[in-house]
Amino acid sequence: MGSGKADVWLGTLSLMILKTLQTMGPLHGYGIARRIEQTSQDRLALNYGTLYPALLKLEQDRHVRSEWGVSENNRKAKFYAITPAGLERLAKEERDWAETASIVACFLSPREKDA
Amino acid sequence: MATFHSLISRLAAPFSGRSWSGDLNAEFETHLQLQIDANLRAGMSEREARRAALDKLGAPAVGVEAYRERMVFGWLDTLLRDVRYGLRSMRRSPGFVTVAILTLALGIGANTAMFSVIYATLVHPLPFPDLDRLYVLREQGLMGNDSNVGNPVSPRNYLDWQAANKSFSSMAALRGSEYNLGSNDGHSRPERVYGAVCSYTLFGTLGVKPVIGRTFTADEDKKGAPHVALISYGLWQSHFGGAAGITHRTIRLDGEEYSIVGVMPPGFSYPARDTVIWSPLLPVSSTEGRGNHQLLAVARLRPGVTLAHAQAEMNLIAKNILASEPDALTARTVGVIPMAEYVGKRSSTILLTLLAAVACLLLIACVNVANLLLARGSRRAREFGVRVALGAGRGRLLRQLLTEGLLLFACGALAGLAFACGLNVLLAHYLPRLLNSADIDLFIPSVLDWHALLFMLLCAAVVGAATSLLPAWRAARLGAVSNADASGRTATGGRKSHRTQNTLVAGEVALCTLLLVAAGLLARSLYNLQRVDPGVRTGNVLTATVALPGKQYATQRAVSGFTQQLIDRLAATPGVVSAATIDVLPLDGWQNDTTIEIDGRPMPRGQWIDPMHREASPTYFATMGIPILQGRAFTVQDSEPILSSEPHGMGAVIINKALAQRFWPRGDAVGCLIHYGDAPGARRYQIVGVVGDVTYQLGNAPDFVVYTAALDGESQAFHIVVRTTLDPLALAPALRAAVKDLDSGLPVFAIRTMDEVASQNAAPTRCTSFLLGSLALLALLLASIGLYGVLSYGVEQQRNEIGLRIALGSSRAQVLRRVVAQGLRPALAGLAAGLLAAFALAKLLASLLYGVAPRDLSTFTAVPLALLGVALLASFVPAWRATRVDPMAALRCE
Repeated sequence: MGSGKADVWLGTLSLMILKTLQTMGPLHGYGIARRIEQTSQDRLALNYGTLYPALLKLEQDRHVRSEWGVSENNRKAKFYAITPAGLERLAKEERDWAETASIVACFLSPREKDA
Repeated sequence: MATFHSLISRLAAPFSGRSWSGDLNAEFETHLQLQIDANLRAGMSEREARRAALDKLGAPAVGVEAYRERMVFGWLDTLLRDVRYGLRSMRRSPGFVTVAILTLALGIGANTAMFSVIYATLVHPLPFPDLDRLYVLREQGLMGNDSNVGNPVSPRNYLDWQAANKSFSSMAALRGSEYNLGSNDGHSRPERVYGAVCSYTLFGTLGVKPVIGRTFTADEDKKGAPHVALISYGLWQSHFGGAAGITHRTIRLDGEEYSIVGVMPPGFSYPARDTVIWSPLLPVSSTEGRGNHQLLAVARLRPGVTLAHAQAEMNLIAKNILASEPDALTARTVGVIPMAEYVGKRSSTILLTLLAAVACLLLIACVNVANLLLARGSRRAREFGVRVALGAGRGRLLRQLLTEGLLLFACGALAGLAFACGLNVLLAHYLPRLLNSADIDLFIPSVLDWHALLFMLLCAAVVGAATSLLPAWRAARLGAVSNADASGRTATGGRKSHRTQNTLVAGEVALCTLLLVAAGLLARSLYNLQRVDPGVRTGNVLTATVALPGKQYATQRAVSGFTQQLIDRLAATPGVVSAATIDVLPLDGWQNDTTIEIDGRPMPRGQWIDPMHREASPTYFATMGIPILQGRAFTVQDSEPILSSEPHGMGAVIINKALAQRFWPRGDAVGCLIHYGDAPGARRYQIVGVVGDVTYQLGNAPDFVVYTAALDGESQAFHIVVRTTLDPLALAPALRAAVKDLDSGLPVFAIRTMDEVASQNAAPTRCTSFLLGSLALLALLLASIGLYGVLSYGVEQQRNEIGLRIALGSSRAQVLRRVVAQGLRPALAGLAAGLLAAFALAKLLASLLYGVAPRDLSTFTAVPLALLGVALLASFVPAWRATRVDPMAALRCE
C-alpha cells in the first residue's frame, strides 16, 4: 500500500469514525469497526493496523477523546467519544464531502447517461 | 490548533513513560475477543471463529508498527527504539563490539589529537589579534645567494627599516635572552629563566595588553634608562604567589634589580614558549656595523596595504641601504613572511606527514569496521528476513542498521576522545622538544579545544555514516531477499558482498603499504643519522651550563679567572680525565658565526667567509676528543693578548679541516694570518692548528669553524665539559659543588651528558620515525585483522561448498591452497596499488630523509615481503580451519 493512498483512506476513515461516534455515542474500537462494517454493508473490513492509527490521529488532533471502561464481555476497553472540536470538523467535512460529491457527480453523470 | 496539540502529544509520547504498547495490546485483545464472540454468535465453531478473527484483524505486531509510525514524529520514537535495539544487539556480540570500538577509538583518537596539534601549530599558532596581518622580517641574500629563510636582522637595519617604511603600522625587534633569576628571599639557589629583550613597540605590534600594569614607554627604551621588566602570568603566580601590588615590586635578574611594570596575560609567551620576562632592548649606536644579525623583527601590516606592496617597498629600502654601504654585510632583499607560516615552517612537513599517516589509519579502521558490519549483516540476514515478514519496510530496516552503525561510532568516538585527550597531553609535552630542539617556537596547548572536538564529531559522523551505509544497504537488501527464502543461508547470498569485502581489504592493504614505506624510509634515515660520525667522542662526557652575571664579571680577565679556576678544580676531582669550557657545544645548533678575511687574500666584494665561531679553553679538544690534525692545541698563553686588550697583540686561532682544505688545499694553513669582520685595522690572528670537523647538526656537511682561545662573548654564558672514567652523571654533584665553592650565587643548569646532546640532535628524525613506525605497525595489525576477518567469514560462508569439495575428493592441501589464494588475491592487489602510490608520493618525504633516496630499492623490496608474510599468516589460520570442515556435517546442514 502506497503511502499517498493510505493518507486518502485515513482521511475518509476519520470521517466515518467521527460520524459513527456522533450517531452512536461513545464506543470502543470493536464497536466502531463493527458499526462501520455494517454501515458499509460489509464491503469494508478494518484490521488493527488501519483502525487504531486512525483513532490515534483523531485523538492527537483532539477530535476524539478516550477513556478506559469495561466492555459488554467484561473486558478492559478504551471508549472513544467525539469532542466539540470533532463535531465541528465533522460538520465541515460533511459539507465539503457533499460539495465534492456533487461536483464529481456533475462530471460523471452525463457520461453514464451516454454509456 | 489541532496541529499544535498533535505536535505536543506526538513529541511527548516517547517520553511520557506510559507503556502505550501495553495499552494498545489490551485494546487489541478486547477487540479480538469481541470479534470472536460475534463470530461465535454467527454460528462458527470455536476454532473457526478464532481463525476468522485473526485473519481479519491481522498480526498485532503489524498493528503496533503502524500505530508507532503514526504516533511519533516519525523518527523520534523509532530512533530511541533503534538505539535500544542496537544496544541490545551490541550486548549480544561483545567480541565484535569491542574490536570495532577499539579500532574506531584508535583511529578517531589519533586523528583528533593530531588535528589539535596541527591546528595549534599551523592553522592558528599564536593568540594574537589579526594574526594574518603580522609578518616576520628577515634579511635575505646576505652572501649573494638567495636562501628563502634568510637571516635575523641587524639592529641598524631594523632602525632604518622602521624609519623608512610606510607599509607597516608598527614594527618591533626582539631577541631571546637568559637570566639568572635571583631568589626573592636571597637564600634559595637562583635559577635560570628565559626572557626576551624587545623594543617598546613589541606589544603594540602584536596587539597584546598586560593584565596588570603597563608595557614599556619609549623613554624606557633608551640608553641610561632605569631597568624595567614585564613578567609572565606564570612567573607572577609561581614567584610572587599572584600577589597584589606587583607593579611596586622588583625582580632580580643577573644580580641587578628590575622594576616590574606589568604582568602579561596567561598563555602569552613570545618569541619562545619558555619566555617569562621581557625587558627593553637597549638601542645601538648608529656607528655599529650592519653585519650583526641577531634580531627577530616583526611588523604589522597597515590596513589597506597589500603584501606585494610591502614586499616591494622593503626590497627598495634594502637596496638603498646596500647602495649607500656597498661593503656592508647586509640584505639584498627582505623576506616578509607571514608570522603563522614562520612559526610552523620547521615542523609543517613532519606534522603533515603524521596527519596523513593518522588519516590512513582512520581509513583502515573504517574499512575494518565496515567489513565487520558487512559480515555481521550477512550473518543477520535471517533476522532481517523475519523483520521484513513482520512488516518492516526496507527503509525502516536501513534506518535501524544505520542507527546501529552510528551507535558504534558514537561509542568509538567517546572512547577515541579519551584516547585523544591522553595522547594530546603526551604530544603537547614531548613533540615541541622532540621536533624543534634548537628553535623553540612551537606552541601546543595540552587541552583539546572546541575546534578539535568539533573535528572529532564531524569525523566520527561522516565516517560512521559512510561506513555503515554500505553494509546497512546490503544487509537490508539481503533481508528483503531472504524474505522469500527464510533459511537465510544461501550459497550465493555472500558472493557479491564478498567482492565488496575483498575490495575493501585491498584498499586497506594499499594504505598500509604506503605507511610501511614511509616508516621504512624514516627508519633507514634514523639508522644512517645515528651512524654519522659527529667528530667528537660523546661517550663519558658530562656537560653543564653556567652564566656569569655581567656586573660581577665585567672584564674578560674576571671571566677567564673564573673559568680557569673551575677547570683546575674539576681536573683535580677523582675520576675526571680532563675538563674544559666552550661557548657552544657540538651538536647543539649553529649559534654564533662571524665573517673572516685571510691576510693577503681579500675576498671579492659581496663574498664572505662565514665560519662558525667558537671560544674554547686549551683542554677543550682533548676533553671532547677532537683530533688535532696539524699544529697544536691552545695554551694558556694564547688567550693573553685578548685578555690584556692590547690592540696589536697577535691572537691565536685554530681552524677546522673543512676550512683548511677549502682555502689551503696544499695543507699550509698553520702560520697564516686572518682577521675578523670587515674592519681592516682589526687584530690579527695566527692559525696555530687544524682540528677535525665537528657537526652542529647531524647529517649536515661539515661547516667551517674558527676557534679562539678565550671566552669573549657578550653573554658570558658557557658550557663546562668534563671527560670522566666514571658514569658521567655521577659527577654532577661534584660539578655543582665546584661552581658553588667559587661563587655560591651561580646556578648550574642544563646538566646533560654529551650522549644526550647527540641524541637530542637526532630527536626530530627519531621522533618522526618512531611515530610513523608505530602508526605503520598499527596499520599492519588492523589490515591483517581485516584480512583475517574477511577470510574467516568467507570460510564460514563456504562451509558447505568446502565440505562438498572434500566429500568429492579434494585433498585438504588443495582446500588450504584455495583459501590462502583467496586471501592473497586482495592482498596482492592492494600491495601493488600501495607500492605504486608510495612510488609516486615518496618524494614528498624527501626533506625528512637522510642518506636514503625516496625511492629506496631496499625499502621498496622489504615492505612488500613483510606485508606478504603477514598476509600469508593472516590467511593461513582461516585456511587451516577450512581444512577441518567435516564434510558429513556440512552436507547434513544443507
